[in-house]
Amino acid sequence: MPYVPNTDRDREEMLREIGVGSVEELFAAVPKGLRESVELDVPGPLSEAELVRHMKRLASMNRTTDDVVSFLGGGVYDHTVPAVVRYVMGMPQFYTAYTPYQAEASQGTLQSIYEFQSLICRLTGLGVANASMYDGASAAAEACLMALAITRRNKILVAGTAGPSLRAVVATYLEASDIEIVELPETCGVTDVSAVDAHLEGAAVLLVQHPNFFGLLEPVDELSVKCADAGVLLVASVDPLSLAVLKPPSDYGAAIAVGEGQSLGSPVGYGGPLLGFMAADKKYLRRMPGRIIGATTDTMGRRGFVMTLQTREQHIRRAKATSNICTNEGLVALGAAVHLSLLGKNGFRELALQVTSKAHYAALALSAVAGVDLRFEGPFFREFVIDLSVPARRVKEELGRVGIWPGISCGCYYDGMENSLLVSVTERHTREDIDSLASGLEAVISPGGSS
Amino acid sequence: MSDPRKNGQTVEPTVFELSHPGRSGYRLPALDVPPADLAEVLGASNLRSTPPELPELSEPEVVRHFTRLAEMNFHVDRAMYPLGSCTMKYNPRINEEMAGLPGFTGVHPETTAAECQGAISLIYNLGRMLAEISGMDHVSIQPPAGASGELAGMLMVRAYQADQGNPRSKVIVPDTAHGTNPASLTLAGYEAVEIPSGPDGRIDVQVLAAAVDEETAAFMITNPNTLGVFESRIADIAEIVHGVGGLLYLDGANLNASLGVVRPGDAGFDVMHFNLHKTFATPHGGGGPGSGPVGVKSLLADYLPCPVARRDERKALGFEYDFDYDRPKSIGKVHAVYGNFLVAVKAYAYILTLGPQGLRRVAENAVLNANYLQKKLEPFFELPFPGLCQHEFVLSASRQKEQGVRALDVAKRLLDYGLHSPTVYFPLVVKEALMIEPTETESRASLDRFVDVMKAIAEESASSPELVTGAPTGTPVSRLDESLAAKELDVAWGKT
Amino acid sequence: MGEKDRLFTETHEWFSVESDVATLGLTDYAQGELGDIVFVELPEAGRSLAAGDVLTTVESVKSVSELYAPVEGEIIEGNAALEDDPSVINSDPYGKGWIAKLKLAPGTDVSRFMTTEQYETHIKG
Repeated sequence: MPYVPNTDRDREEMLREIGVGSVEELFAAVPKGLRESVELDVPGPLSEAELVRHMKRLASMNRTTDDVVSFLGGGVYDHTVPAVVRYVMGMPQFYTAYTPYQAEASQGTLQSIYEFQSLICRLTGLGVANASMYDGASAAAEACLMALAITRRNKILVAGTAGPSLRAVVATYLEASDIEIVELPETCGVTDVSAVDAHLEGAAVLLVQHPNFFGLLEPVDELSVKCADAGVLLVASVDPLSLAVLKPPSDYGAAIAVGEGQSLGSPVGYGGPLLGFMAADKKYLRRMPGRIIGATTDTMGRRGFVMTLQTREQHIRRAKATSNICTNEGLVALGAAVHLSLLGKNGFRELALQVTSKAHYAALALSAVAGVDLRFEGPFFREFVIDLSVPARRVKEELGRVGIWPGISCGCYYDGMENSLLVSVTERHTREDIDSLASGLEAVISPGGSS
Repeated sequence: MSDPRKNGQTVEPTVFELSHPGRSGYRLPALDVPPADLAEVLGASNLRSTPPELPELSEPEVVRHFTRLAEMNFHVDRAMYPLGSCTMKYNPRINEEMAGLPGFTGVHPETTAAECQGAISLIYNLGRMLAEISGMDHVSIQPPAGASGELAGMLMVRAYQADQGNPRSKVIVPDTAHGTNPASLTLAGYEAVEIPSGPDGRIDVQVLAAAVDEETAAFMITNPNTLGVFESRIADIAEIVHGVGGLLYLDGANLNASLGVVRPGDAGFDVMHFNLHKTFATPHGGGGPGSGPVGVKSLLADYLPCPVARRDERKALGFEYDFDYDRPKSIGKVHAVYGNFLVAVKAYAYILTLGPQGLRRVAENAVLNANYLQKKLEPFFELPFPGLCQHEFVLSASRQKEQGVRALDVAKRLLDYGLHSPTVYFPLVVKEALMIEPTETESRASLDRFVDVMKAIAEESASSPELVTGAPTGTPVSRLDESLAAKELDVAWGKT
Repeated sequence: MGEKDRLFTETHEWFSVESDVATLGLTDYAQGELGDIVFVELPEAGRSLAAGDVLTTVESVKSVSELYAPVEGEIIEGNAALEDDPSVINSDPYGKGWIAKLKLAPGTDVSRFMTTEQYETHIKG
């Protein structure tokens, strides 16, 4: 057993010190009947060489975004992860540390998370951010719970254009409470502002994703006015990269901003770990879930950092805590802080500009293909929906054979969109990649094309 | 008056203080399509007027900043980290390498099942292995952390009870419970009913019998509990809870003591969560990412989080593994995708490396190390619950308190000796608690060193308590003012 | 009002009554046990409470204590000064560190509460 230092001799000596005759005796408190029956049927043990062979075989059974030209997005995006981000996340001082309970021995974790919070505040324009949540979906759910507690109301409004998995997680978190969830209808791919009025009364929160699942910019200014008039808190689920160019949630009166931070330095990783973030107006600080790092001083007057406002949290307030969250995504938040610091003010903006430019180039190139139309007219950020003259599934299958994954079939998530694809573009796509998607679509769809 | 946190002495400047206009640490590819006119394509009214004030640094500056921060951290690669109930064991390097294989990191979650059989098979088979280890029938790896697993478990309890005719209103927890337990069951719509532990630190079966009724949806316990003792009367406990139609929930935080020795599923538990970042050696990352799979007996299978990984050996669809989304009774999703997959990869590799005998050796040595430490430390600190322990035990600094030294001071003094402190002030039933979990990956020499240091601190507490109350002095910063942090909040740079 | 008019509860609140208004706070013993008080939720004026209801919560760095209404009444004022500096509860628990004023229900009986001497015996026991 490579990870257990005790030798048989150590064990014997230690048992003698303890004053028992065998290891078995240490388990005397476990009823004998329960102990005797156990003979685990699990594979192993494997040597390192055997393990590597097995794992590489499993890994080889997956096609990755490097193996194909992939336009899959929908919340998890294939950006280049800078080597420095991986390097810092791989420092054992960070990744083999626990939650920073002993602040004096955890200043690295604490300061880097304080910097993460500060960076999220700068992106969102809001006054406070927490030390991270599991993912954008659970962050949205927690924001709804927070808004329900603040307003003491019992209804939430969720834009139907918010991501399907985000809406599903919100529903799970609220399943046990007596909360009415109203899904707001869309028009032209964005929330139908005229349909909002009917539901505002008594609502705690309006949750909107901006840009939404279809990549479209939502009418946040109009929604904001409606919310303000009705005392409804606006919660914006935002793509952090979009905030390099789009106005921050503070500008349109969002009380809380949440989002998925995977695009800030994490690989697609089959969807996990992800990174939820949450920022809020400072007046709601005491209602926030999760850890919050604050600056303070030590006995010599030097600056240092601690976990603060812990009285909100489960280990102190227990049943009355603002949330049950304990472990979060600290290391991924560190990665995001490194990523934002590395790209910096200009690099991050340049990245957003590239993504926007390539997405719009792609939209133009694809919609020029006969049998392909842009489904929605409104402005979009990094992804967009195309309608095909044939079922999207068939197109995906055929293009898959030539190593092109054209996007997500919207029909999996929305009725009546069986012919639609959500196409997502990052800085990793070259013009050639996009052109090959256009010609691929042409070949598959046009009457004279393959199939 | 200037705020010393902004203008005073610093050990390491913030990344904002290091910023220098015009620097950049990363080069993007040259844009090979026409640059978009942002106002035109996004709409002028949607744009921000000034770019977000991110720092501007070159790559070496970024690396140095975070390296210097890293150097200020204590971590388990350096020395013993005996936080009770946290299972700070060694994180095998090979597992990190395996989780970093491009064939795992590069898989997009929308990849069709046929194209990612390796990933789905890993999720499926890790679930099977965890089920075998725990004696549960089914395991979902979707919950991304222990508390998320608790929520999923409790929502399944609720769905099950509702299907029996009444979701019920209460969940019982012992007074030694982790804070997440009452917080999670509250989120699942239940009222927490706390019962006091008996004089031996175990559940008082009579008290439990009196507490349960037809409104009891479940009893939620940790076993071995947070005092490090196994609930010997688990069969009676299960009978009492099941007798009123309740379910038995296991908080698996302390599963390390049971690997290969006893299976919760055999002991009457109906539902449990695992902490892969404790028992299965995946790193804590300074607070995550973790992974909190939830396991259930068959009676709860229909309610598992959606989707559920499944296997078809006959490959009717042309492949062996996929996800089942057709789960009408499921509690739904607790994670945006499938959970913390790359964490699951590490746990999977860990189990394969250990095999059945290795897993048992983990539990045996964890329990051996804890008992050895307990025995050696007993002369110097109060041991409120004497007798053999499992993987952890709880001391009290009550003797030291009379000398003016509190558990917190002992914790801080340990840092000066280059060791991490135990968990302090938990569980709540022990005054001045020091909760110690050495884990199986500490050597006897490392345990002896810890004993020597604890003995020295006990002696200092008697002879020169100011050394202890003034600690730490050997850390990058000395004792930090938590009151100031809470009263005059500074939680983001440049914002007040 | 002096020390002799002060009444105490077993849950470590003190209060003193002038005509039909009770001024209420946390006892010196309780503030000492809690340590540095960092936050008090300001009690909302106008809220009616039954005896034993939670009036507000007082937080130190790592604990939360609930403050209960000793008698039935309506909150007429919370001590707004505590929002800026909750530590006055530590430095002057019976003076500037008062927490709320309650308008008592007519005919409220306060004879069951402890005097200063009785409370001191209580905390020693």
